[in-house]
Amino acid sequence: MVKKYLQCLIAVIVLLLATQSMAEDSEYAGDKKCRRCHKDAVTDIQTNIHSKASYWDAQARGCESCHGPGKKHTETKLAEDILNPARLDSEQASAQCVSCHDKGTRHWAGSPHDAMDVSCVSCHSVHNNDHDKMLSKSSVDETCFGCHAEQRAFTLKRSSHPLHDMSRADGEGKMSCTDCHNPHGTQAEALISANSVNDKCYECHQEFKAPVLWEHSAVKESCLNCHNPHGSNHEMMLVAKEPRLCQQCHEQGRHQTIAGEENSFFVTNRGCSNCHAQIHGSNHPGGVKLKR
Amino acid sequence: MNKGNLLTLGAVSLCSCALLAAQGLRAEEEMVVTGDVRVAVQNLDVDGDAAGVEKYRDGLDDSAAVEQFDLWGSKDAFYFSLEGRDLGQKDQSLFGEVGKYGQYKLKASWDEVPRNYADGTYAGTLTSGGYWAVPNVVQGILEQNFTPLDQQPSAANQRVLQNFLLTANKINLEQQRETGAIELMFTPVQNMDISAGYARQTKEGMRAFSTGSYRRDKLGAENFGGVGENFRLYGQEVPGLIDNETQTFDLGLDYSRDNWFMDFSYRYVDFANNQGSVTWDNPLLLIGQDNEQGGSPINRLDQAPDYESDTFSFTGGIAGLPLRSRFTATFSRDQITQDDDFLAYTVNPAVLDADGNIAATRPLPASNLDGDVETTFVNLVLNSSPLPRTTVNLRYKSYDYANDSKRIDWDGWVRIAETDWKEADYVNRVPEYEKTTLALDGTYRFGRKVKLKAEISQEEIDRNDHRAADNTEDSYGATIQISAADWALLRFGYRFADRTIDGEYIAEIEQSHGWEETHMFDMAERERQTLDAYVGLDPMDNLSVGFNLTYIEDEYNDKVYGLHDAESLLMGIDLNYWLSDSLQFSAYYSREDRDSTQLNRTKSDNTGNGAFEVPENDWATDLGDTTDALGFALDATLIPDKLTMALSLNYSMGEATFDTRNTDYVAGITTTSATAYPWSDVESEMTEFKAEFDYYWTDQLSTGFRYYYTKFDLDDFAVDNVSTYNGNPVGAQGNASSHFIFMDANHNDYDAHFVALTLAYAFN
Repeated sequence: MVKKYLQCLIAVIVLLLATQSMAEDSEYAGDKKCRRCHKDAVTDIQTNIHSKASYWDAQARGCESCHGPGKKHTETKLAEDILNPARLDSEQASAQCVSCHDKGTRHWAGSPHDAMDVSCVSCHSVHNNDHDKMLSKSSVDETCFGCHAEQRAFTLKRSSHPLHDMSRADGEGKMSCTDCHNPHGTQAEALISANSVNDKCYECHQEFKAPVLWEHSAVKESCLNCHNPHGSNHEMMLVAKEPRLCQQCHEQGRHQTIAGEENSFFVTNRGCSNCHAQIHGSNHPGGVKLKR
Repeated sequence: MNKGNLLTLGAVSLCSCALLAAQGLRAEEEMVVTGDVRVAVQNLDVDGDAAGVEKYRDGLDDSAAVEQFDLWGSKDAFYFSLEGRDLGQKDQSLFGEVGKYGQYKLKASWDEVPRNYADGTYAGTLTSGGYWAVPNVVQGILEQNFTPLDQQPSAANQRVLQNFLLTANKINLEQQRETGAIELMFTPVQNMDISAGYARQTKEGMRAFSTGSYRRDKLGAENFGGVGENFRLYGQEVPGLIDNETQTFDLGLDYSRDNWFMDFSYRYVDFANNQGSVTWDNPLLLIGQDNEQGGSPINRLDQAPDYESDTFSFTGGIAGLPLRSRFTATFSRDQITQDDDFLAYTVNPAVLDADGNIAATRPLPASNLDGDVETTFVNLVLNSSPLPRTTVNLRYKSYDYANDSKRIDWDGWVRIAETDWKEADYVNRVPEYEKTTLALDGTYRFGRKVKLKAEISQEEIDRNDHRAADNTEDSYGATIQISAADWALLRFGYRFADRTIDGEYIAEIEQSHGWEETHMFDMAERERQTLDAYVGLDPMDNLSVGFNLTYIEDEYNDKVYGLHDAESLLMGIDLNYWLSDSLQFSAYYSREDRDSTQLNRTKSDNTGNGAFEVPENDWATDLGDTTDALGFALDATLIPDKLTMALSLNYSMGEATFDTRNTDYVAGITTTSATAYPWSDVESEMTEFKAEFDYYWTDQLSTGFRYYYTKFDLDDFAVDNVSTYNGNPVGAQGNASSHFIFMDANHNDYDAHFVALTLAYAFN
């Protein structure tokens, strides 16, 4: 008898445990129920990479990974009974995304965008499969220009990085804003995705990184002393025309101090760089004046 | 066990298994493959600078091109993707990825970027080893018929050179960057990623560089006329070969758990320059000269040296600290080593040192720089929400550039374009600096609509170079953000920064710069004010307008020479309007204004033995830089599901002005080289227009027509005045008896029409 009761007790305990597990799940409705009312949104998610979230996290719950438990919402149909990241404040909205996307957002907290209430949903639309990276706008650059409208003009300047190409259907150039900046937060200033501005420039312009025999010391400190990487009305993305740019620092000789005419060799063509070719520094024993 | 027990056990087991299985069961998926491809037949018609039209692109004139190719497939956890752009052209790219979600991924990519310049003219012919040779007979003719370098060239002699250059080679100046990369990332356990990658980038091609020399009729600064002691310039633009390769190896390990994470990475970079130097003949000189300042018959320039670098980085963070805090730390150390062998003092065998020995074979004081730079980067950030509606961030950042390269005692070198030995004791500078920033910012939210941020920071830069200043910059700022309505966001910010110089520098500047009293603007004492404004309006569901403005004003110490002040205004407005589901309009306007003033003083030719202390030689320049850009785009569905149209226009106009004036001109005292002359404005204008129509025969198949027009005009006296030979324009300031041979490879105006017929197919 005791044995029989014990067996029943074990059976009940096992069933209770199993039922409890199901009871925990009962706060969640499941994607099929979401689909009944939100067919398009569910279809969007199920045809993008978020439908695979469970391969990274077995606890992922489809729609309810971001929107929270939806059982009550399916009963009441009320918006306040479900989370909508688009309607949360920026910190809460971003927290929903960062809970999974923690790897790409190591420096998000306190970053310039976070501080100014620019959240993940300001730029990304998880239900939008029309654009790369689920951006709300057609491209990275268009997303940035939405707030940084003044930067658009730089791409059209006389000298600039190849940021746009209108001959293409998508209008995209060989580079975009995110080749230098990481909008998700970085360890450096101005959201530069490197330890410093120069370290970022050296990723493509490797030839200027090494120490050389005769240094132009302003160069190793910051490329921005002479260049504007967003574009310039002058050649080589210089912030001002030679010789005037050089004369903002150099006064120590005679020809350095010339006022200059248009056809002076100190002004025409490359200005000071007509002779001083190695303006970034030289490793030649004869390169003391950065000419060799 | 009896039958009853078995039944109980069996029932319980079945129920448990069913419950457990119901939670974990996943239906097996079918393989899903989607993709699209677009091919184009293209034609380009250019009037003007074709290289300018294709500055960073290629193949606009190809008869056929694969513009875009995408393929994506997935089955359960397995996936692959492939994307290609402009396949077969010099700006092509290909990206591929395959993997299993949550387990591993393998990425491979190939990317090419062209850089095209206008063709240049050059007198030499490229021979082995990157040596641009001019036949001796040509050098002899030019040396004999062209003017000796210490005399004024006659018009007839100049014509000899000009006629020779008319038949000189046309050099195709272009560069090509190609990058191939592969990366493997796998996840051995949940929350851990291990990655390894390799990339190889090559740059090949040709670029023009300019190098020159000069000659002084008299050495020293006494009793002469004209500028620079008859400072005659002789220069030449030369095509330099580019052939370098960068290899990068990356290793990474990332791990995160609950509230903390650790990321480790290692990067090794190897830069190899296969064209370490460029050597070229001087077309105007055949016979080697010694101590004849003003040119060598043979010249050699050193290109970027090989180097290696190793970078170790660690980033870690922990959240969930008291007061809702989070701490993130980054530590990174990069060691860069460079030990390229020095070239000889000179390639000109005629130059003799002070002892009468051939400088070209004189032993060097060291075989290489033994370059060794170590950069250490530390970034510490503490974020906290100690009180409701309050956020505080404390940041410490340090970037230390430590340079252990050799300081070499030089007792002389070959100068003035390899024609003259300079006997002097000199040590090469080995610059180092450390930049440290400490910043605190706090944000308080007044309800849901108003947010106030205040920030304070101090940045210190310590430099080791005896000519360099140490700086401290204190800055203070505040930003207020107001959600005036659900559809209106306003943000205004102000920051003030005060940069000062350590007292020691002032004493040093008086010693080394006192007689010219100039300052380096990147180190100078400066007050900077910055004003930012942003207005974002979404007054209707289908209308959004954004406006932003940044104003920066810099004031320098105007008691010294150099840059005195600078201000810039950047503003932009962006509008998006969805007239309907099938019609969207967007437009923008932006303006940039940069103005600066600098003061300079020319050294006197006649007064005080070439002294600096002649205030009548002062001149000032106001630099102005303005850019206006505007554009619009219209996207429309003309026939639902069938015909779409996209129109866009960009227009940009840039203008740079140079207003130079003498501040204290006195005839007879103000030297000729200090006399201010007007410079023409530099104006550039860019217009782009695109019209695109796509007709969808089915959901998958479409054909399209694209027309793209681009026009670029540049008026820049600095390049417009350039020809292959610029010789002694009469009366040009500073040009007495001077000559320059240019490649004349400057981008010019163009007017181009591009047409493409496209065929696109999407499959799934």
